[in-house]
Amino acid sequence: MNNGEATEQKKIVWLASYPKSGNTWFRAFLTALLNDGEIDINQMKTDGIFSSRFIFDNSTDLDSTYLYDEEVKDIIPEVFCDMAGWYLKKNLFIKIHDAYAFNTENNPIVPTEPTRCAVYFIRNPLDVVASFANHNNGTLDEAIHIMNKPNGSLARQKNNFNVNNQFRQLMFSWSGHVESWTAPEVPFPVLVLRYEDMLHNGLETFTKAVEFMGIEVEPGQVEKAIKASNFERLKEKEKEKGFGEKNIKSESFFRKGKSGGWKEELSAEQIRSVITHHKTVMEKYGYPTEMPEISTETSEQKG
Amino acid sequence: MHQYWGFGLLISSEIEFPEFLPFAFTEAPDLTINLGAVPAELTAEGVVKKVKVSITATEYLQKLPVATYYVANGNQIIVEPKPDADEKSIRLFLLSNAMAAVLHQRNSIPLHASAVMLDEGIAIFCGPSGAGKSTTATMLQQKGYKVFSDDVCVLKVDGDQVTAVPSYPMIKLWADTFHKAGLDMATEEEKIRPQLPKFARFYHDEFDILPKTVKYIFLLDSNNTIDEVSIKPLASIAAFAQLQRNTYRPVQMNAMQKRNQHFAAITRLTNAAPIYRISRPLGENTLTRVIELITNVLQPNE
Repeated sequence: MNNGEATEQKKIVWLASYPKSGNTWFRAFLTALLNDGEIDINQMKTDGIFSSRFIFDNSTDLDSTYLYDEEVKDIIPEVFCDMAGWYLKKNLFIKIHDAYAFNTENNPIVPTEPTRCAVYFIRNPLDVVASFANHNNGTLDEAIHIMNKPNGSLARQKNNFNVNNQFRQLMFSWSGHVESWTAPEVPFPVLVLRYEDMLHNGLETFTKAVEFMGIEVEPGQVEKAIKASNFERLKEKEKEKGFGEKNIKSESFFRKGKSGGWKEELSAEQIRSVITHHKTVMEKYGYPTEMPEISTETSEQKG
Repeated sequence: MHQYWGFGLLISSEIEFPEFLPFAFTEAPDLTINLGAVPAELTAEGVVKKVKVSITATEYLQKLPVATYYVANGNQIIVEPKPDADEKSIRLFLLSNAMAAVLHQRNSIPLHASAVMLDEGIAIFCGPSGAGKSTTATMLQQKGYKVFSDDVCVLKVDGDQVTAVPSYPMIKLWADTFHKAGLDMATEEEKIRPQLPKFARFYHDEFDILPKTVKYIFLLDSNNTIDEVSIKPLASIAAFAQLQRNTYRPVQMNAMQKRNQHFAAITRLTNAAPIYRISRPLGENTLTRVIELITNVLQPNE
């Protein structure tokens, strides 16, 4: 599927995902693709995140720290229409962890008008758990709790505080997030990419995404970008120079970059909890939902 | 009509503003604030439309959830409140947006900065929202300094000297700052908006409206790639690049084509006073250390 040339109105490509599902890895790939194989992880060539206070304030002439979150969500669709209007670039690649949700005016928070398409990254939720816990510097059970609850959110500030450089992001549950972005009612094309396919079948998967987004490439350019954005290289770069997008509470952003680690990381109870809550969506995207054999050693309660 | 002084202007207002300094005057006001009907749209040629706001060099129209604000010719604000809007919210957005439009229309230079008074002149603290400007001024107030202005200082360039006047005698602090700064918690009544955990601290008694010379400039920032607080003097060129980001309401400045005069004023400011950058790690209470570094500069012999 190819979504063709960017038009003046429809230039935003949303890079949408639940956290820790390959979004930043894909942005590093895009950076390499658009920058002849060079990556500085602290200066990605993509165009920011939906929840950015900076982008919002720049379009509104407001100090958004004075706003309530529901006011922000009522105004935010217009912000991205405005941004698409004044950027001269042909494509805007914008990361988003918010679910495809609706505001108090019953409009989608993600505006249709400037949107060309979305790439949705999905990863086995059993593997998301430990990575998400590391991101939050929290426990596995806390990560599972957020993934299971219907109104889970990211960057939520206590007691209505609104000072961080990102707004609160309502994600729903892990399944709710996937379902919101892949619902037939979403009025623009959405390509679902599995993290596991990016990992094990890189060339085919990344090529499919590049074609879907309508980016013209030279032969060999995709391979070169895949090589440059190899997980170990990104991890190495973070070790050398740090990574500004890392959660302040977390040790490192890039952790293992593997699939199937959950078998060693989660207890039987934790695995059961995730599978029980997300079975339908997991099966739809080809993730096994039968309980594995767990040895007594690894089935002990894990933090 | 109520009579006030604020942002260097004599203000005559139909709306009561506890935030401004009451100030009796007999001359014509610089600015009049009225309640009334506002234009539906701005139709002048060259109007810049951003989200919820339309701007020309002489007119400004902003449609917010609590009210619509119309500002014209640097001397008039008309407010049309929404039916259920609370007064605090209506005043807050007027003070932070419509007032900035008045200043830009009058060719004033509002800078995003808080400031405290020294024996002679002032020290100013610049930085984006959340950088710690108000908290720094409050902590220094606890140490005996008088607060000059919170959030905005209006610059005046006079030859090589750069002076500033304050905005209005109220500091806005997030709830957690009271504990960090060792202050008694504010009351519900002092919230600046009903559902926002940010509170007003008035200082009408020590408010000084005379222009003061800028003696020191501190740029405050925070990031998550450093482990401890650092202070660094900046050379003029680097300082200019940093300071010009602290223009108050850059959307207005650009739409009204005031960049040149802002940049000229900031160049003067850069040459008029030493500039220090203070960087602190995010997420830790580094207040004491930040204040220590600042007072070491302000009182090198103590």
